Amino acid sequence: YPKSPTVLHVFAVMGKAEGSVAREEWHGHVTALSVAPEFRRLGLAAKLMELLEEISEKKGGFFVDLFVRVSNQVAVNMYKQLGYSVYRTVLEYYSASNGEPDEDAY
Amino acid sequence: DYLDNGNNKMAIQQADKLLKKHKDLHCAKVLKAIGLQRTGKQDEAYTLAQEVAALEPTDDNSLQALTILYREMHRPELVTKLYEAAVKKVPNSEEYHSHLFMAYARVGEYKKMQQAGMALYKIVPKNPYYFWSVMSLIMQSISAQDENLSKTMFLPLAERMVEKMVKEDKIEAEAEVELYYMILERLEKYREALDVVRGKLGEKLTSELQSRENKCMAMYKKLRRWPECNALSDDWQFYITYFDSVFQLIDECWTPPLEEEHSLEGEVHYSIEQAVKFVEERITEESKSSRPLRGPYLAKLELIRRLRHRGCNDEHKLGDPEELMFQYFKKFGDKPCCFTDLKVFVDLLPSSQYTKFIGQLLGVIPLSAAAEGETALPEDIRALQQHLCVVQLSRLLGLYHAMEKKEKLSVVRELMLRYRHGLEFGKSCLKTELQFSDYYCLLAVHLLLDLWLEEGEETAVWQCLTLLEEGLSHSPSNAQFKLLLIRIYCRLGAFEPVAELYSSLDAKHIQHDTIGYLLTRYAEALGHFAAASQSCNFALRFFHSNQKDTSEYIIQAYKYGAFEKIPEFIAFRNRLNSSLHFAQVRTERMLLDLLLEANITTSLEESIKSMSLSPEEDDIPWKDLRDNRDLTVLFNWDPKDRDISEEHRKLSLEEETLWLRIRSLTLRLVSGLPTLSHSIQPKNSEKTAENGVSSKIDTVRSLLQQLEAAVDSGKKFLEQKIQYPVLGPPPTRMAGFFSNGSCQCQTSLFYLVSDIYELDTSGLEDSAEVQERIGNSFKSLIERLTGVFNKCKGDLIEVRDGTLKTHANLLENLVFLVETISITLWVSSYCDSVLRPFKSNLQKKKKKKKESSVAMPPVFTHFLDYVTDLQTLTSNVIDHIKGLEIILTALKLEDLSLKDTLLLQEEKKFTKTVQGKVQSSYHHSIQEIGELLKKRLDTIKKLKI
Repeated sequence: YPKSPTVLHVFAVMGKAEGSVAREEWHGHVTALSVAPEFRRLGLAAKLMELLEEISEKKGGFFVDLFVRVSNQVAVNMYKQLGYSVYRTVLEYYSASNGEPDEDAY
Repeated sequence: DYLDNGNNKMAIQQADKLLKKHKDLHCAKVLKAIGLQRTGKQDEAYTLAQEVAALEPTDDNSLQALTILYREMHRPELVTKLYEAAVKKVPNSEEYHSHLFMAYARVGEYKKMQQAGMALYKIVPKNPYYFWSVMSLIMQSISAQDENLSKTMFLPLAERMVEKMVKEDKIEAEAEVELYYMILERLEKYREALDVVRGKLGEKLTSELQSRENKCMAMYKKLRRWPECNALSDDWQFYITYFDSVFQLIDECWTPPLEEEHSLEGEVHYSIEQAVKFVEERITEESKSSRPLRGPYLAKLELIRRLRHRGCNDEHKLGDPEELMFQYFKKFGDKPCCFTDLKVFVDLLPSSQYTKFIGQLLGVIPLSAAAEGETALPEDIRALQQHLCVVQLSRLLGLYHAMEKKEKLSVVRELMLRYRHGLEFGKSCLKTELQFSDYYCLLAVHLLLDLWLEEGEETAVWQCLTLLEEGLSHSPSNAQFKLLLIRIYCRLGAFEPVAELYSSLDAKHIQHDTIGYLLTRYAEALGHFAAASQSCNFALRFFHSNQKDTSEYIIQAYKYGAFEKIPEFIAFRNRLNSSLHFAQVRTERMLLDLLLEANITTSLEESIKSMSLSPEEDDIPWKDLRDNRDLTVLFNWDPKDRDISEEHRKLSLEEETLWLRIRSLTLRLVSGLPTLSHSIQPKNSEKTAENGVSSKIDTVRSLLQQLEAAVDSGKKFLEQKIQYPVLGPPPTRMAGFFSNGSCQCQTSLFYLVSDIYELDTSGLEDSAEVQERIGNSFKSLIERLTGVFNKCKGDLIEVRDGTLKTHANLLENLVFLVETISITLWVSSYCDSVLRPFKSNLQKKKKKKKESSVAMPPVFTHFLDYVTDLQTLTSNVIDHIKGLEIILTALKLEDLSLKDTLLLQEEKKFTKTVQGKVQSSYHHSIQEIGELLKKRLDTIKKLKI
């Protein structure tokens, strides 16, 4: 909604298609999803996911996958609400910079 | 393997072993060369690589290894040569041809790319190759200086190439359609483009949502086909276009054609009545949807705004904006975005209604007080959001600005109470999440900032820092807290805490360009030289890698057929290359390196050589300088008349450019100094002229003139006495440079250079006039430097009435003084290099003639006196700095009783912390400045001839 003269950074979703068609692995992948704090609680993330799924569908993707930090409960719950389920837990997927142990991902 | 692990030495050894067995194993040689390159032996690596390249290898391993090596050497053009040779030897290799294409793409050889693409297509008739060639044509047209050439040759050719494929029904991929669209758009063949998008080919456009619709819309707009614009649908962007088109149609008195049935896209609205009805319908529709949508309501306000703008008063049909905004607040007030939504429309309210409006909003928020007379507080997050929205609107409407000092202070207290209360709701927040009530704290700080800057309330600034540090402790990821802390610490002259705050912001990539200025403006100016170097490095590393990275993105775009992104990548690279910040950090970094090293660890001449600086060269794109700074990175809720305006941006860019010009000319003048010295001594004046040194002095003199002109423009600019908003662009160092006298010192130094050069060429005899002039310059220089020194005197921190007052300008002046002394010393060593041979010549003569009749010319005495004075002055400055250090260390902040008993215990703790940080930062500045000056003092001693 860039309606004021100062364009606001509101949201972004990045995705790509990956995998092989032959093995029915061709799918959409959510690389990153973010909504600016100002514009949360509006259902924008769900909307963005919907858009990505639509594209994935058009491109003949079999499913959509993503990674999320185990600690990011808000996001995990959102994805679950959207009908996603935890396929597997990837240990130490997220590297930590401050010496803390690397974090797991779903 | 060794190379991959970073063990370059082992890699070289292994390669050597292999080479002993197989003397001509190309690949081993190249791997060895990579090892050499990575261990800093660039020259050896290059020779070895060229040895292999000369043999024109055709094995894949060698080619790939060489490609890696050349890339690391930043010589991508050599890769093209490599594959040109390989392709000649193996003309049917698809792989080598495609490597060659990519190599051309890296260096932007569009014409050759076009040919390489076609060559590929002939070997293997795959569509992508054909379209690589087409894209290369488009790139030729973009980069062509002559627009005519691009419109009459490159683009039509590209168009015909695509048409051929269309006719043969060979179009396969979405990217190819995109490309066709790009060509037609650039040829301004909008109608044709529209046909493509709407036609069968358009069906391939699926990667982006609404790709077809958006492209159609763009074309309708270009064609000014408002009826179609009007009928296509989209979200907010739709409303905007919808209104645009309705009003266009009204202005054109458009009526629907009778026979033809509507437009290509359906029903068309062409009157205000229809628009009003349409918006009302959207709202009715919205009320049925499961999730409340903001669009229709905002569209109504937008329509009113537009109608008012046109002088129509038909808004009664839509309702009173004040009431509508009230209703909107009731519906969406608990959303964090409510404030920004309404911000756009507050102009619709008459200022007489502001207080009433705010009161009305407050009235509907469920707040409850614990007891009579206490502040009524929200019971849940939703109520808190609503209240916060009202507070933000109050600030926007200027209600706080109009308050008396006492009232403001009580608002600050209330906001802080609300802030601390609101933390209750965020107890389960992760440390990466923000606290719900953070904005209360930020707004309180903004009020205190007003008190500090507008009413001169010194305690207020400490309170600002106190509250922000408190806020940050509860909400460690809040970037706004950090940014504001950075800004205030810098204004107080304390850079030390800033470095850590900035690094915790974790600025990445493009942010080094957009917010890097927060650091680079202050680090060096405040005497934190090491940190300044580092800040410049962050930015420079990014800018340099941009060049390389962009070529990689372009290559990827070709590979995946993302053709429309290619011109974007190139525009992005160009924008970064002409960045104001880039030019600034380049210049300041070199000045800083010279300041810290030249004639201390390495000679000025060597330093300049290693930077490949030359006085003739100016690498700053003055005409195209782009201001990429994000000047609104700090939030504010100020009314329009106090906010950062377009005018401020323009003025700030102008000021930055003027200052950059002065700095860059100073740098070039300094870099001219070694070019004036004799390389072979002694020699007579004719010879020097022949050797081209005379043109060097011309360069220096012309730069000096340019510097004078730049200084004049700078002074004129400052006469306007521009005050930027405190959260807007920081002012440059220019004002201080002029007012403390460093500017005069520096320019007169370069005049001195010119005089000394004259003495050098005319010799000691018959140069009494120049000698006298030089003598006078020496004297006035010492006087001027003493003047600058006087501007550095005084205490950095003063305790007054139980509160601290800081004098950060003294630090800035000290840094300028040190810089000016350094330049003085570089000029002095040039003097020395001129005078020394004269003196030894004279002494030789004396010895020969064995008589004392050869008198010492006055210039020697002048110089000796001057050097002695300079030494004394520098020692005095060092003593002064020592004095400052002692006072700073002695200042016991713990003993400072904080008078304001209203401060909470916790606040007092934070106040002590921030004051301690400022004190420690000053200490750090003083130490770095002192250290540097001591090193400079040592070099003065060498000047005694």
